[in-house]
Amino acid sequence: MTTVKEALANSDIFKGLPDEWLVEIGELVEPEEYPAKEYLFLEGAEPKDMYIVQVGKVAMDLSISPIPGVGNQTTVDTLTRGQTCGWSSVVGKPYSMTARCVDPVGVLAINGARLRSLLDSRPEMGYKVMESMAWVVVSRLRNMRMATRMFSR
Amino acid sequence: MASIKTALANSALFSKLSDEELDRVASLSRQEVYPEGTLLFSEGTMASDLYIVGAGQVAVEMKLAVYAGLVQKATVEVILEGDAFGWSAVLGSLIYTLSARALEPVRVIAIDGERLHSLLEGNPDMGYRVMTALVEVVSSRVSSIKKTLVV
Repeated sequence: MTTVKEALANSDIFKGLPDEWLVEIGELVEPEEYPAKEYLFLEGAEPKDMYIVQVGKVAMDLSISPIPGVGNQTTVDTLTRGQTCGWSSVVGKPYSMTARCVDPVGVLAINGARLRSLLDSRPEMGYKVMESMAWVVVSRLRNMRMATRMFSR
Repeated sequence: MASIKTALANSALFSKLSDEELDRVASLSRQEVYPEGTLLFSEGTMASDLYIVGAGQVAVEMKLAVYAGLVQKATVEVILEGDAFGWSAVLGSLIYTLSARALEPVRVIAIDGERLHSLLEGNPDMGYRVMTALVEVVSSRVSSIKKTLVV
């Protein structure tokens, strides 16, 4: 049985952090389960939680229509164990993509605003977490560019 | 030096820094001017500097395998005044994952990535604000990508 602390230590965003920080962050974590085809969040929606995938696959879908949620979607990334989505909730921006459960999915949900408050009050932790997040977001943007290139001009 | 600091203060990445903090970043920076068409850095080479556009436009290009055996260069983004590129340099990556080319005569601020990284690490309060801004900038690029998609 994996503890929350271990799960955080194996995530893209929180790996490499000292144990005592993981314990503090772990206090914000809610394990959640979703059936296949359920959405964790929809593109354009007000942000609430950030999610770390534990079980199953989560597809990141981007609408290729001017109206979010209407018309064609393209999957730009598929996330598995240890990968994070919904970081918009930490910077207080609407979700930029839709997160769709491909399988029955287990996640660790972390309230974005509460995580942000913790990081705001702890600059050392904040720097380390935001640095990892920047790293993940930059590499995810690259995957997305590759995935969407076939549709762009 | 004054214009370097102004360009930094006007950039999305460093706008949250204090006057004194801007001075410290400026001391790691140099201003460079390039004619149209110059390749500022190339995908796969050592990532030494983070850049801020002071004036002009820079195209960020990516090599894409169109199919096995055919690789084309594609512009994935046009970087405007105040925006940053060459993030790899400050994220501790060894190589640039994209190329950057001047679309017109440009003035850029080049910041030593390794020294900036040490500065931020030694001053986590400042590092936190810069990294948060970086996450916000990158997130907002998702919407700019959407605008280039064909419906």
